[in-house]
Amino acid sequence: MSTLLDIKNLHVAIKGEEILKGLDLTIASGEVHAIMGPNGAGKSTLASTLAGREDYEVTEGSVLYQGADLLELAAHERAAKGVFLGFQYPTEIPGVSNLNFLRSALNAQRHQRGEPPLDGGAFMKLAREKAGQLGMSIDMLKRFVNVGFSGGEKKRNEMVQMTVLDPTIAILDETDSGLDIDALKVVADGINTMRGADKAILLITHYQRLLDYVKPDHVHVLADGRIVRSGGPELALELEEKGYQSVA
Amino acid sequence: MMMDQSSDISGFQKAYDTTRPALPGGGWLQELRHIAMTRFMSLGLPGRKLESWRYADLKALRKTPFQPVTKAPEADIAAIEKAAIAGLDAPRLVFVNGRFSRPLSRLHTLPADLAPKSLRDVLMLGGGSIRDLVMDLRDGDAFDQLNTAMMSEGVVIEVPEGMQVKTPIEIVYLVTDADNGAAHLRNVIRLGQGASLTVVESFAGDDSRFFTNQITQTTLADGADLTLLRRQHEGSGTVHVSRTYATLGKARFQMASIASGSTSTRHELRADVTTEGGHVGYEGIQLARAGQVLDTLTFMDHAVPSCTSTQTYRAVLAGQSKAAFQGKVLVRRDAQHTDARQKADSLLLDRAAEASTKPELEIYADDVQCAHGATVGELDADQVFYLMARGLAPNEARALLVEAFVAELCGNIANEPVRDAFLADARNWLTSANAAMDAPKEGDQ
Ligand SMILES: Nc1ncnc2c1ncn2[C@@H]1O[C@H](COP(=O)(O)OP(=O)(O)OP(=O)(O)O)[C@@H](O)[C@H]1O
Ligand SMILES: [Mg+2]
Repeated sequence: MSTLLDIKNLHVAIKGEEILKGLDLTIASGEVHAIMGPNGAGKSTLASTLAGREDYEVTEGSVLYQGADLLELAAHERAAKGVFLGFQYPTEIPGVSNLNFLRSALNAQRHQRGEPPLDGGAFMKLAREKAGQLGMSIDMLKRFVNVGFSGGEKKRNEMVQMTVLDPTIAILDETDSGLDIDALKVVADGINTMRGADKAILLITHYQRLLDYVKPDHVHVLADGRIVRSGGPELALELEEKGYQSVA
Repeated sequence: MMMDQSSDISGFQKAYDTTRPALPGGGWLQELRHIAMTRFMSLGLPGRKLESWRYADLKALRKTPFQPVTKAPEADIAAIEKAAIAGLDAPRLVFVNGRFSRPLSRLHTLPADLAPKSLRDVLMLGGGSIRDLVMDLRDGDAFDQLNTAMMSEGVVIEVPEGMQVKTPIEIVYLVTDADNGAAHLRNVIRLGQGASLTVVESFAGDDSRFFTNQITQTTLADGADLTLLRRQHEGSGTVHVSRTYATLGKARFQMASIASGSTSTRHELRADVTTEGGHVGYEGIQLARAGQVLDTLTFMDHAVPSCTSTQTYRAVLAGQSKAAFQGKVLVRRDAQHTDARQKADSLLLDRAAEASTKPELEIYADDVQCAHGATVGELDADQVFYLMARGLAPNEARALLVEAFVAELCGNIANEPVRDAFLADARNWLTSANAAMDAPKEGDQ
């Protein structure tokens, strides 16, 4: 298996305060990794840094993606190269419909990759199919991006975006939080369709229950800006039982 | 100081003196023009010290002696089509450098009893109701006076009682190859009882140094419904001063405007609601680019009970630009149950841009509903990141967000080609504003 993402000694500061303090993580194609860890540990900071948030300052370390420096790319370039971030708190954008947004995003990515744009009909077919699989109506897609969506609906919407954009690596930040039991199953199914030999998934979660549906190959504990422990799926069970105190 | 100020504007007196023989109208009008010019010269251009003019930029008017264009109106039909609204199948009146062009217009599609008249012809005849309307501005400010003194062209549209005009009337004003020229335009729109009409104006032009000075006087009888749509995209050398007067009974007056043109623009809407149940609606979009000053002033005068006014203003500012909105609502003592609302939101795309909003509520009745709100902000960084994380380049992300901001206003325009034209205006503006923002700044690598 080839290395897809290689993070070495990553230090990240937000407004001058160091949040990630030398984080190492290697993800190979075909793998599913899960990161767990206490509130405020830096999980979302890691996710946003990988997606290219500009105000998060990388002060030390390196990130290679597909063998090339990921950190020198702007957020939209990373997206076009197949990096997807499922947001912990998806942003509301009044005035922009989900469909318009998603089509603009998809075609912006295709443009960067030198592919022709998808026309209206082909896009609608794709959007309809993917939304349908995630139990989201076309009417929801016509609404403004995340505006007035419930917590669970927002997460579902992230998954619709993911399946339409079809990334190579999906970083899903607490996509399971706020989902009811049925929705969790639907979203897990969506994530599982993303699995593939040339793809990878990084799940950030607080709960074992998502991992029941999406079996991780590796589980890591992120505490105080570092990966403090790594193991197999059994680590998640141990954490659920004993809490972070015991492992960190 | 007084001397200085009048010498500043002595060019206008000269322009008046040379133009006077060619100005339409005799008798009472000649006399009125003369009085108006004298008043203008003694009033001078309004200065920054006047609260209602503190944001406007009239510098260019003091420097350049703008001379009304006498040369015959000539323009490429392609330039007219470009300025006009794509896909709008409507009668069209065309003014080139402030002069009406019959050959470039298309009037044949108009119902006979609606036929707009040329202001020039109406002034030549001089009689009837036009006199009262012109007299109405007798005591007006400097720009009223200047316009009265110099007005020579415009349209007079009178919609008879009960006539519902389905297709809009389009007016295109083009400025081309007219350095140091001026257009003093006066439009008159009158709707009889129960009549309805939509008028769409499009202003466009090259980078000639030019002065557009327009007044539109509208009167609406009970039950009338007038929609005025305005696209102001004149060239970068233009100074644009325009005002719209509305006097209405129990009627509906709706105005929507989008402006990105001119180096300096001042637009005013002044509405008097004189009968219970009247409504005035205003939606204004201002798009300002580096070096521009876009100044808007509205004045809603509620004198009688149970009238409503709603105003929504949105400005987007790029580069070192200024946009100002002063919205005055006057609710007089008898105007109980007035419902007057005003909202002004400005979006700064550049730290160097300056947005000013000043609501002014003067309320003398006690049982009324008046609300106002104003915000000034930048693009939301979280929203930009969200869009970029999905693949949109920074300029595409900005474009989508700005379009959304603007579309919330012009999305309400009923006529589809006009609505599309407004949205296209916003997009085009943004494309060029984006290009300016993405251009490497000095000191950048
Ligand atoms: N924009 C910001 N400004 C200042 N501090 C921030 C900002 N974003 C994050 N932080 C801080 O960085 C630390 C890590 O936050 P982060 O969101 O990465 O934690 P997390 O591990 O995702 O926590 P949770 O499990 O609660 O989602 C926290 O102490 C947080 O307060
Ligand atoms: Mg988090």
